[in-house]
Amino acid sequence: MKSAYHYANPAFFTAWAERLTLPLVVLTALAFAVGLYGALVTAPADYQQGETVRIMFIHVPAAWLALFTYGGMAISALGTLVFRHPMADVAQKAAAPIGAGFTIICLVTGSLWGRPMWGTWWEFDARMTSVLVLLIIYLGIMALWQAIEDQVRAARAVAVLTLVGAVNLPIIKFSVDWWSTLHQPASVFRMGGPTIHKSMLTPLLIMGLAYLLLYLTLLIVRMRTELINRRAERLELQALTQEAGR
Amino acid sequence: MSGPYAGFILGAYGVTALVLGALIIEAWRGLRRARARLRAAQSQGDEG
Repeated sequence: MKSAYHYANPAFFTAWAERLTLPLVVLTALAFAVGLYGALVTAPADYQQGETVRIMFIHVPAAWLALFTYGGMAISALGTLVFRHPMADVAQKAAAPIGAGFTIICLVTGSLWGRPMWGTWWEFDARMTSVLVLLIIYLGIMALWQAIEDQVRAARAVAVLTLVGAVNLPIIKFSVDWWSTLHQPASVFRMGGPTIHKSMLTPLLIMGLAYLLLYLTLLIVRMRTELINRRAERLELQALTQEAGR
Repeated sequence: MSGPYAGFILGAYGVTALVLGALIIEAWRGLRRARARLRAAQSQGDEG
């Protein structure tokens, strides 16, 4: 039986990633089609929120994936620092812009929901502030990759920053329980199960799946890109060395 | 979609489509650029 290291080997990864990309694209498109139909057509209006509940079907999955992406990056950071696995920093570098995108969607759609519901575009409550901090950390990670030319050193610096920033994940999750916040407590992932009716829960979970499939698709494409760029860079360096040797 | 909050709902879906669209386009363009770069590097190596 082949180990996980075999499947994460760069050459093997490229082979299975190429085969997996098209099926993932198709599944992602299908999931979004079904999820959006549920979110915009079949899900009823909320008795309190009215039609603005439809914003939840894009806001909540974005929040889930913003945290999920960072969690994946934190695991990759351990892979870089502890196991020195060659694919770990590739995954980390590829994931950061995707996570930043999901966080931006979460913040902006949350604001657009909050204005009619709470009467405010923004409040510095624990949940909203900690998600804003998450976005700043994502942007900081992306900037750090660009700032350090030696990509091996950059990977280690980014891994350390990622692990330090991971302390924000439980703060985001439990902020609504630990502090008195404007943002409401959890309605899906909570002790005692979801408090949302299945007519809304089903399209919400399908949209969550759609976002997850999109994340996986983009991650694989970006990782392939990073590996190709590294290979091109090695060949360019080889050509320069040969040229200099003449 | 009508009602007093239609603008907020359309705005939210619009921003989401924009951000996800930008992520998708950037990822695919990045892959195409990388492949072109590798092809150029390989042909440079063949000539040398």
